[in-house]
Amino acid sequence: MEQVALRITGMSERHPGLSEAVAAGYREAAEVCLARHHQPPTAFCLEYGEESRDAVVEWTLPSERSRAAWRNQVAATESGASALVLAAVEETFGLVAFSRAETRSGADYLMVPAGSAIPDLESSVRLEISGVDSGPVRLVYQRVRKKIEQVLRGSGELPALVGVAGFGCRRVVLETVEGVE
Amino acid sequence: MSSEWLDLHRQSERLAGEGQLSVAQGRGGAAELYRKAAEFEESALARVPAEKVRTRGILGVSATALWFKSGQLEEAKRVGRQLLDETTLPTFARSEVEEILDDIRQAEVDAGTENGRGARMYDVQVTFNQHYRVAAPTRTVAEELAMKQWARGEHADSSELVAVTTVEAESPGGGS
Repeated sequence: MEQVALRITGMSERHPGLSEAVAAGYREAAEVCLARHHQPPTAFCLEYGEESRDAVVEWTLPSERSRAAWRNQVAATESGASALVLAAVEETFGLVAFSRAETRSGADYLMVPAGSAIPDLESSVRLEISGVDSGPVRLVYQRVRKKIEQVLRGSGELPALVGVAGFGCRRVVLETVEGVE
Repeated sequence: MSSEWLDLHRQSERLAGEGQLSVAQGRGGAAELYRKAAEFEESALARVPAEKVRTRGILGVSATALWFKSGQLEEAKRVGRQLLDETTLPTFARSEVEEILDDIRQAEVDAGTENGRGARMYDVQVTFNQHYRVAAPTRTVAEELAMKQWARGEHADSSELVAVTTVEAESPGGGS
């Protein structure tokens, strides 16, 4: 089976909605999270629907300075998951982050096809990201279900994508949320 | 393809992203970054054509949320109310703006102030990706208020409750 790459480096060059500082912060957070459980490079399983693919994440061990900057485990998991999920969506769907969308309690990303000349956000797809630091893969699936329920019960902006990264169990799970009008 | 609104939006999201990193890493300066981001986002919103209703909805929610995160509650209320007056505002945006305005009202009531001034602002992280900015006299009260806000939400689920991390937000400064 072909192994795909989850590219967490150089993301600001491919994702117009990621500034250099934010992309670097997400990558650094991902490396801190990965270093809690693994050594580089790390094999992941990338799942979308019924499909499952082998993936690899190339990364470097974080410096003490990086570890100190990301000592808040919850914040590091959130930001690190952003790097892995955005890379997984890019690999799976060919979508890149075009824009950041602030929300009441965080931020989502609006995704468009890579390389497209998009004049606005009218046809973009909203991506909701979450992450799980440690524990079995069922925790990742539980989080995916919860995020889908939240999307369906929430603002109702569809279609949407949900992506959850599990650092300890080396899994990224993506799902689309299609609405019933 | 570039346009004036997109250039302004790019400036906003760069600043907002840096604000997010600043909060995540416990550094100072987030309120000022969010304030500047809100100004750029509002300028961007003003330049989006009326027929781009989804784009306007997304930027409108962003502008309101950024003013809220900067601690400039009066500005958040002003922008939010303007958006709710727009008959073409998409349902998702209306819902999100109303939630932010509810949070502001509740924070003001809980803090015992008429307009949020006089109370300190705290950023409280309750679950994995649920952050609340609340006005309160003390850190403990801020955490209680944030937990109450979270528990009131229809999405509240105790299995997602992972941590409560609180930092005192910078003084908004200026004021409206």
